[in-house]
Amino acid sequence: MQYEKMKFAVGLFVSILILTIFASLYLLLDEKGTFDKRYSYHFSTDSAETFNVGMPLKFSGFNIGVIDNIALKDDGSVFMTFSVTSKYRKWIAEDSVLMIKKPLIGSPHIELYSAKGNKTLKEGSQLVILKSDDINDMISKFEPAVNRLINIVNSIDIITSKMSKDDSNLNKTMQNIEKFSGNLAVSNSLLTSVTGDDASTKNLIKTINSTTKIVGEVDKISKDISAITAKLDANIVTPASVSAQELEKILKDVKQKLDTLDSTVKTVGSYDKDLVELKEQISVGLIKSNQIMDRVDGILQNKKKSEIKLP
Amino acid sequence: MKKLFLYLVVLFLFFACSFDTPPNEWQFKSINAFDSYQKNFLSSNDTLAKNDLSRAIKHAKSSDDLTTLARIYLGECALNISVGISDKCENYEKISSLIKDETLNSYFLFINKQSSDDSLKLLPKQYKNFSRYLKEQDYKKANETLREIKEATSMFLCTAILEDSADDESIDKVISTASLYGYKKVVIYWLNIKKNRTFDSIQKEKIARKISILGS
Repeated sequence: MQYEKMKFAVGLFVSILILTIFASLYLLLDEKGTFDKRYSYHFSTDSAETFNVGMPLKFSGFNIGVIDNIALKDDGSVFMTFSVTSKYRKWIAEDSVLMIKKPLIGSPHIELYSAKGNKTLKEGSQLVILKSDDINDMISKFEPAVNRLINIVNSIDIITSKMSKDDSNLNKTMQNIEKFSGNLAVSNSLLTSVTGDDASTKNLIKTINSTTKIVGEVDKISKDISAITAKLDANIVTPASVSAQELEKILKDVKQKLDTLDSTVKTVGSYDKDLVELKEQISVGLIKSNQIMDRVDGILQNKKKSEIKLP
Repeated sequence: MKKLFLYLVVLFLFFACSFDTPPNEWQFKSINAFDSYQKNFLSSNDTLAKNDLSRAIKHAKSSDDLTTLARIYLGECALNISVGISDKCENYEKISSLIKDETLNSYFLFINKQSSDDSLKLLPKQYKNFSRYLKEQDYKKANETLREIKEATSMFLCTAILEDSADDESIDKVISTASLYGYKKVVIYWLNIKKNRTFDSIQKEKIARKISILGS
């Protein structure tokens, strides 16, 4: 009785599960528009190049349909069939135009251009298709850059026209330079042209001469000091300096050796610790492996003997 | 539901029983380790044998009763004698005064060729006739008896005790039995004995090549 109940419960569960799976699948496909009625339309082109079955038909950036079939007609032209769902059918209206777009980046697609309010076309109607030239696309991409270039050229033009005026700053600066060079040409001395009169020039020259004399005396004093320090250097400073340098070298050498010795002692000390640790770890490993071997021996031994059997 | 519960309880009990460890687990571990030692020693797996023996001794030293330890020492000694390694069973002698088991003492006397009439009685049954013939110096019968011993290790021990008195037939029997079990140490030992006994140079060379191959 209990078994019958369980069988019923399992059967019910499986049935509900199957129903749920199918219902979910149906809802999913329905949401995707698989069961919607599709309306087919046609257009003709000279070549099927760049077209393929499944190519999207876009309107305002939305995918509203796909190419369903491509067929070669007897006259050599290509007959294409595309379909849209009932939801987007209203955009296939009178005066609607298709355009094949081949962007530099991205896959080609068909763009639908449609006027709002026009009468919806009947199913099976034929539409006109235009081709969007790649170069035009490129031009449209370069257009903003060209506009900016034109703006820059205009700005340069304005600047040059301003500079060419008589009352411009550039012109005034140029006039001042001209005056200065004129004065240079008239005056005998460059200093006079700078100071403005001869008296000032003479005073300036006098000052410069005095300065030269002072500099000579300072030079003499510095030479004397140099001679004294040279004597000191030969008698006292140099020998002391040499000794100090040698002492420094010895001390550096001793320090270096002590450093080496210190690091060696530390290293040896650390090795010692490492070795002890390693030894302990090996012992632990051996004990553990022995324990495992004991267990394995115990498992492999079927009969449990009570004493050791002598040879 | 009740049935399921009962089934689980019974299953649990079965598992619990199967994982129960006896209180004298040390003894079982020691016995198992010694068995492993015996095989590895005779097979020339010396490193493993050494480890097995140390494990067996370690476990045997877990108890106040030193009988297991004494048996290990005697077993080790007997195995050494079996393959021609000189052993006076010093380890056993050191603890023999603490052992009450007389059979062990008689075994000790037997492997050291010191059996008395009284000790012969306490020997394991496979050795009784052999040791009697040995004592009587009836080597022919001793050889015949040892060839009939079923236990391979006992046969090796008896042949080694006989030493020079072991006849060619007994030696061949030992070599074939040891070869069957893969006891390399025994095979090499008795091949060496056989080589030394052989006067035929061709035969001698053959045996020497065999020893060389086995030893490489």
